[in-house]
Amino acid sequence: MKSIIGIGRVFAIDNRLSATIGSSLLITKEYISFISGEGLRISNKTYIEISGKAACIRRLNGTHQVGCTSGIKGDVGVVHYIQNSSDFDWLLQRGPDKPYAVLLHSEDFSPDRVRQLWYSGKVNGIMVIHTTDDTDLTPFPSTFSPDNTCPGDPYGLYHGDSSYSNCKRQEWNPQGNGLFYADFSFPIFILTNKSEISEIINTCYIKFNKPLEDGSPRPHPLCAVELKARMSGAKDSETCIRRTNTPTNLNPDTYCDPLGDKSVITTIKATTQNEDLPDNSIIMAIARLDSFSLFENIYPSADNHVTGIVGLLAAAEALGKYQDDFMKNDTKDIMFAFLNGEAFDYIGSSRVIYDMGRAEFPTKYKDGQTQLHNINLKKLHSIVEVNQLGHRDDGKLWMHTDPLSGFVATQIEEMVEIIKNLSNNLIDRADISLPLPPASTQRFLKKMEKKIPAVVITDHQRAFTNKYYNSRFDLASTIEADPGNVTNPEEVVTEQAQNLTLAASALAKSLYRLATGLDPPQNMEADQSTVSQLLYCFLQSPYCELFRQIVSPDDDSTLKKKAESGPYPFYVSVDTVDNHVTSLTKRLMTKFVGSQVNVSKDNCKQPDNNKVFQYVWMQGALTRDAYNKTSRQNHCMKSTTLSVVAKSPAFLLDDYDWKSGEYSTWTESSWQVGAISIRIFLVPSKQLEESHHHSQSATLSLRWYNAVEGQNTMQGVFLVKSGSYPWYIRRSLILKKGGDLQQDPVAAPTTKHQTSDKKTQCYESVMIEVTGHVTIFKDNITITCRAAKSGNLNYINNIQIYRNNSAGNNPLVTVSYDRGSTGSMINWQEQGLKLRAIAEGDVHNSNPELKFLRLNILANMSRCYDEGSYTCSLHAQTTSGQQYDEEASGDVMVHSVPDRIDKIQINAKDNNYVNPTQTTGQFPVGHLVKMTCSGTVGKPPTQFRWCIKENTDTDFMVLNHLYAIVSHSNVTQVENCNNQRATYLSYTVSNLDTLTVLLCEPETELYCGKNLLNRTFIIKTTQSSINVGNRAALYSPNIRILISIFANLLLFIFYF
Amino acid sequence: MDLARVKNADKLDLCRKYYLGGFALLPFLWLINSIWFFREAFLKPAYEQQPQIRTYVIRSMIGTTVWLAIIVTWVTVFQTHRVDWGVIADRISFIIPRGVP
Repeated sequence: MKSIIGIGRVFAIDNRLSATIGSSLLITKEYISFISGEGLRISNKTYIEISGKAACIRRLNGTHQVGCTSGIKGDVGVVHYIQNSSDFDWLLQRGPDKPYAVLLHSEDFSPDRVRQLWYSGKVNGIMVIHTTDDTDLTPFPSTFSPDNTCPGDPYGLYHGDSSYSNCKRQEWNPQGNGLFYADFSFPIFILTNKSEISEIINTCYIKFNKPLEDGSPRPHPLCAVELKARMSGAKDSETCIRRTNTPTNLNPDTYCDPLGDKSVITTIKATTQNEDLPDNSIIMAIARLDSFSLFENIYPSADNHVTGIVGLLAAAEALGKYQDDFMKNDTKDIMFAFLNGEAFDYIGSSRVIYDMGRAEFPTKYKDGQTQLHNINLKKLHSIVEVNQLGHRDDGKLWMHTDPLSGFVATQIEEMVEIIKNLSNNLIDRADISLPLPPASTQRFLKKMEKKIPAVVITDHQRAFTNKYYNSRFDLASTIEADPGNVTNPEEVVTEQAQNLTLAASALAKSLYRLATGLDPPQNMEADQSTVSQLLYCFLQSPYCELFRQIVSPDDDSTLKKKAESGPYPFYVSVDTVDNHVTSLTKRLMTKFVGSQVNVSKDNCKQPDNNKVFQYVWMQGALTRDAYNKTSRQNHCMKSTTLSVVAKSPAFLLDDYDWKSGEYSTWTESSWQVGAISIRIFLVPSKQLEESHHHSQSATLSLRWYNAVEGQNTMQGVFLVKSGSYPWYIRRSLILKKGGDLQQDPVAAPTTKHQTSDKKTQCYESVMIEVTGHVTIFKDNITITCRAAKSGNLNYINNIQIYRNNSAGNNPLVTVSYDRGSTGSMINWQEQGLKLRAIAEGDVHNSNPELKFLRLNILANMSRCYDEGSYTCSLHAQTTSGQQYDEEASGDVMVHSVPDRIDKIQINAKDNNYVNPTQTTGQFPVGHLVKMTCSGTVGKPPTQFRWCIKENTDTDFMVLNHLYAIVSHSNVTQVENCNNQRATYLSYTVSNLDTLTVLLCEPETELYCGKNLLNRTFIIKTTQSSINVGNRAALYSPNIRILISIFANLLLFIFYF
Repeated sequence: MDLARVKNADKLDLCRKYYLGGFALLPFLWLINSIWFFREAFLKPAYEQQPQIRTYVIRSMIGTTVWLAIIVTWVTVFQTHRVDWGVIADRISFIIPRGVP
């Protein structure tokens, strides 16, 4: 069904394209690719979805929430593209159409900029351009690391130490800007698809929003974007985990999941629990498996830590060929540990240590089974950890040791000497006064009170040489491991691969020497081609020969599919599924240190009573048979390699104190289906802006107002309620009679106080009050002249009202002192007005402030030419007998509302499709219907708009999609202050138009279909038996909440 | 039921049942009682059972008001203190909002 609709629609759009060549059409060919294959409802026509994106998501720990979230329904902002600082300044200083959503280059995405944008109050979302294959669109910043300057310190060895804590001696990550640990209450996305980005820039921003040359803002319609990344979790891990487990919750939901995965452990000697495993007999070789970045699913991790992983894997392969040398009783064992979750406060190492402490590492003993001997901390002899190895400082790698491990200083010196010599000085020793850099080793030293010799090998002598630590720029290209655009990239040996091979060889030799005490064999070298392939597989494409060899035949297609979306992410992620990187590492270790067993696939599994070895079925290498046919030799491999849980002990302990800082407490907020999206659309006018996509549930209410005395302009704050979050907008309003609200079209003052030059200060005496804005036939026009503070006047001769408009400056009416009757007398100068207005006045009152003249033009008699400037003219005599004149003026604007709408006219050539009354038409799918709707649009003129209601819709929606083309005619003046205008619609009939009602109405109401003045036209297709699309779309997720509330009420009643 | 067709004695009986029933933590019975019998209690010309009905209706009204006050107070207190209460608030919530503390 979906694809059929898709095809139909694409066809229709092609038609539309050809029909409107040369017109100012918004769509281009690229748009077709965005919408093909989708079931197209109104929303699909209105919005353009952006697919190439990655959101900043929310994570939580024991005390904080970090990352980003949007509002429940997403945040809408007018797109503003910041190319240089003048765009930035324009937004902050001018930018009248807030809220904005800014589109930034990676270089401009700095904490300072983000802060400035946010605190401007004008921005509610940020999009960052990130296309790694185009350095023009994405020039890499010189440094960028969202981690902080001292990564992992609170959970490390030196936390609280007076001389080393908080990187006192050495700030490891000076470029760290800490963005990852900031809590943003607005969405931030990166956009990754080049063609979509250029659409947003060219078709959306430049076409509709870009300020004009002189810096003035563009009029509506404006192109806006809705950024949605709504997170479910909040506050901290304790809260969201508790809520996930709250049984009374009627709407059971997952608010967050603990971060965690598996660590990969391999021992070379397979010592079982029945054998003797002496203390101090295991050398631990550690690499870290994970990193992070600010944006979901973009975790390239090249230097940090693929180089380390590859280095240790290649060393393991080299050592694996000499396994027999380790089988003597007096040699030590080597335990390879690829620890996961280390970027999030050392999840993997904490769990290993925790499990060692309760005798469950690597596995828990079970009766009747032969298993690997339990390993605890006492069994460990020493630790060698490899960290980042890609960016070499001085062309060397550096050994870091702990300055506080005085107890084992001599053993450390021995280790350092061995490694230095066997690497031919490739691995040198860093300043011995420096503490250890962020490393898993810190956790072991902390637990063992620094009583174990440990060496951390990495590429930096002091601060990180990696300028992109834990960021999306830590790519193959930034560590010079990108083979480039060649036909056989897997075989290219990059400089990085050569260097890593040397490092891996040195590492293998050192481990051999440390374990056996013997000189390593001369030809013990890491394999350069393995290193190259590993780098390619991890950083470029998982569908590579090496990975294909180690996966089972069933997974080959999965690999191939995955390769389309790039390399696997190196993020520990939530603990619910195992990461691909982890299982691939496990298989690689099995291949490198395991041995082949000749059994069938069905028998390639552990015996029930012997759990020492793990068995893995692999696809094998490509071979050619005698007939030159290639095939893979599937085979079974066994090794001690196993995966152990890397989930923080914090989530195991019932009474764990979340704020104690002992174990990692990181969780990732969950989000609902559809909670992350970006879509762009047009905002037709300011009035509709806020309600545009909340049109179904928004209610408008006046929260408070502050009326300015003497004016009928109000300053107010509107509360637009949508869902459960309020949205405040400050607006200037005109409060008209009848209570309806309208936005202020002109900010003209309604009262003017003009005084003549002759006047001296004490004679201030005449004031005018006018009804500034009136609607013709609806509001009275009242002009009141008052004499005030006329104490220095002897008497007032008369007060006269003039009107100044296009007909000239004419006197209308006068009140004068009638000596005959000693009262006041009204005289009309404008006789026509006498018939439609009432005048009253008094110049004789003993209270000078009650002297007045009021002209009241009746509403049903008002005329268009009553508009103009009215003047009160006072003629008086002062106590000293002088003549005194004074004037005051005020403006009256006569408005009108739309009062007539003609029948919708269909292009004459389509007459044969339309019924005789011209209210319904039946068209073939793909037909371009042109229709005209005209009538009066009021003064000041508004325009007609088109609304649409398809067969399954319940309400009308603005026909605002990018494929129906709407244009408006100019305004012509007609009788009664009204303006005439027409609107033209070109609409292409689709197969969804089984019963589509198009409605034309003046754009005076917020919502479609609410104006009593309207005309409709029904469109049907000539095609018969059409499925009417997806009914489920009618039921929004809100229904669930309504049902829950209803259930609540029921329960409440039954409760009593 | 149309009260106009019910005998006065039965009205009193009905009114008493609703009044007494309200004590079983059923404030809606009091609410209904006070609306339903309002005319009988205050507007109709006097009849024998009217003073008694009036007593019940007044007491029902008081009960309804007290309940309303209790409920409004509780809702206000709960909504304003939900975040501070932490665990307890989550336990007594039927619906825990997403994405906010």
